[in-house]
This record gives sequence, C-alpha cells and structure tokens, in this order.
Amino acid sequence: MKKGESAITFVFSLIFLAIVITIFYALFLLSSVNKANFSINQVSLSDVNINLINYLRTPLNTTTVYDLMINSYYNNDYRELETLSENIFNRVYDNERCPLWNIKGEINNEKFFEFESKFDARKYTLSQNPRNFLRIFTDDYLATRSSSFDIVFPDNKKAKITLLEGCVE
Amino acid sequence: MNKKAQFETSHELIIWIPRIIALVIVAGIVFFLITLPVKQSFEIDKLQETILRQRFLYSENCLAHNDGKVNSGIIDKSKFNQKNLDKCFEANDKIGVNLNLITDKIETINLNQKIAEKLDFCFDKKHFTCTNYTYYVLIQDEKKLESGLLNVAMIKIK
Repeated sequence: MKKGESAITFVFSLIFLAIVITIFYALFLLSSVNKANFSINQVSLSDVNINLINYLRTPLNTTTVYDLMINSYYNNDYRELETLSENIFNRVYDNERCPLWNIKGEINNEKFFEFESKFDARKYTLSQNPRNFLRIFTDDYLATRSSSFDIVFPDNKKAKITLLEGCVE
Repeated sequence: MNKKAQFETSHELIIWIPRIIALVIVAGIVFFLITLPVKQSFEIDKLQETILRQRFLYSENCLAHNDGKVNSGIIDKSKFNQKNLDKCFEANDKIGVNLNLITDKIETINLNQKIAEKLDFCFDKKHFTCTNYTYYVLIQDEKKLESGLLNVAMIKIK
C-alpha cells in the first residue's frame, strides 16, 4: 500500500472509531435515562389528609373554616374564605419545596370555589417519566398529591373538598 | 500490489464502513435492550422517613392529642418535649430529626442530635437521604386550640 493510501485508511479508521464511540455513548445516555427509580409517593397522601382536615377544622372566633365554607356558599361570597385559605396555605407551602397548592369545592362535579398558589412552579417538570429527557438536566420534579373529603351541607347537598399539593422530590 | 488492486482495497474498505456502522448500531440496540430491565432501583429511604414522620402526628405515644379518642393531626402541646419525643422515636441511629413547632414563637427539638446537625449537608445526595415537610397542625394547649405549623426535617445516612 502506498504512503498516501495508508494515510487515507488511517483517517477513515479514526472517523470510524469516532462514530462507533459516539453511537455507544448516545446509547449509554439513553439507557441511563431509562433507569427506573421506583419510589412510593402515595404514602405521603396521609400528609395531605392531615393538612386538609386541619384546614377544615381550623377554629375561627366561634366557628370553623368548615362553617365559613357553608356560609360562603349560601351567601355566594367567598372573599373571606379566599383570604383565610391563602393565609394558611401560603404559610404551609413555599416556593422552594412545595410551590403548588390548590383547594377547591365541588357539588355534583361543579366547582363552587377554587383558590390556588401563585408560586412559580414552571421550572419543574411535572413527572418522573423516565423518557422525559429534561431529567438529564435536573433531578428535581414536582410530585403532586391530592386528598378529598366529602362534607354534607344543611340542605343535604354533598360537597367534595379537594386539596392538591405539588412538592419537589 | 498493482494500482488496480490498491484501488479495489480502498474501495472495498469504503463499502464496508456503512455495513460495520449498521452492525455497531444493531449491537448497541441489543446492549440497550439487555441493560434496560436490569437498571432498576427501589427508593426505600424516603419511604421510611415518610412513615416515621407520620408517626409523630398519628400516634398518641408521640404528639397526637387524646381526649378519649386519638385526634390525628391535633398536637398535644404537653407532649412536645425532648423526653417524650425521644421515647416515641425509637428508630435506628442512622436517622436524625429536626422538629420545629411554629406558632407565634418557634420551638425546636432535635432527635439523634449528632446526625440532625448534619442537615446542612443534605445537598450531598450520595451520602444522605433527606426529607422536609411542613404540616398544618392544630395545637391543643390546655383548653385552648390554636393553629400552627410543624416542620419535620429528617436526614438518614446511606
């Protein structure tokens, strides 16, 4: 083989080697992304239950938040309930660890009130889906959990109160 | 080697390159599929911390108020002391806990003090597993019921 041809073969070998290494590295990255990390988040539902039930039984002057909710519904005035809910949940949850909360009341699947956090949760991905390539750049994702209680109004209407929280895992 | 033979050698080499690349891709995919089900891990440290954390609020031996029935989530203020919480938290010595009861003032209790002091090192996820959760709680203080927060920070050495 002439000198020039051997140089060409050498260059081709280097290019070939680079391609092979790149392909293996890409596949290695892909298989890392697909690594399954199992964790049981649903145990934390009991935490949300505590927060919701305590919210409902929070003592006001002579009544509770539960009573205020009923009065708000019949007077169609939710301002006091909104202020109170924001005061409570903005203290419990914060922008760093739990930037998402939402509380809503429904009767026959129709919302009669809904308040939520004004924290910025956009920087977190909402799932730990292993195929979410954003996970290459960050380990943090937002785990959402919710808890619901059924309460009965004086006219026997059944209302469902739901608290949802989103915390960084 | 004559000129024709040299040309054929180089030409053949160029022809073989795509074939070898295809072979590498196929081998890579097989490798990828084989390793896929193997790379699984089960995170139990956080689960353990969550269950231990909930004990504080659900067990009457810890903080839950008892007025004939156990009121989970309502804290008996008289139970928030070092002696009672040390007794309630009979976990292994690898977990440290920092409890903050926040009303108009903040009361702090550390369990397994030496480990709890390492909470500042939670950024090191390789060596420590940490959880931090704030509960909205009601606090029964003699006859008075008031609202407050209970922050439970835990650290476990891996």
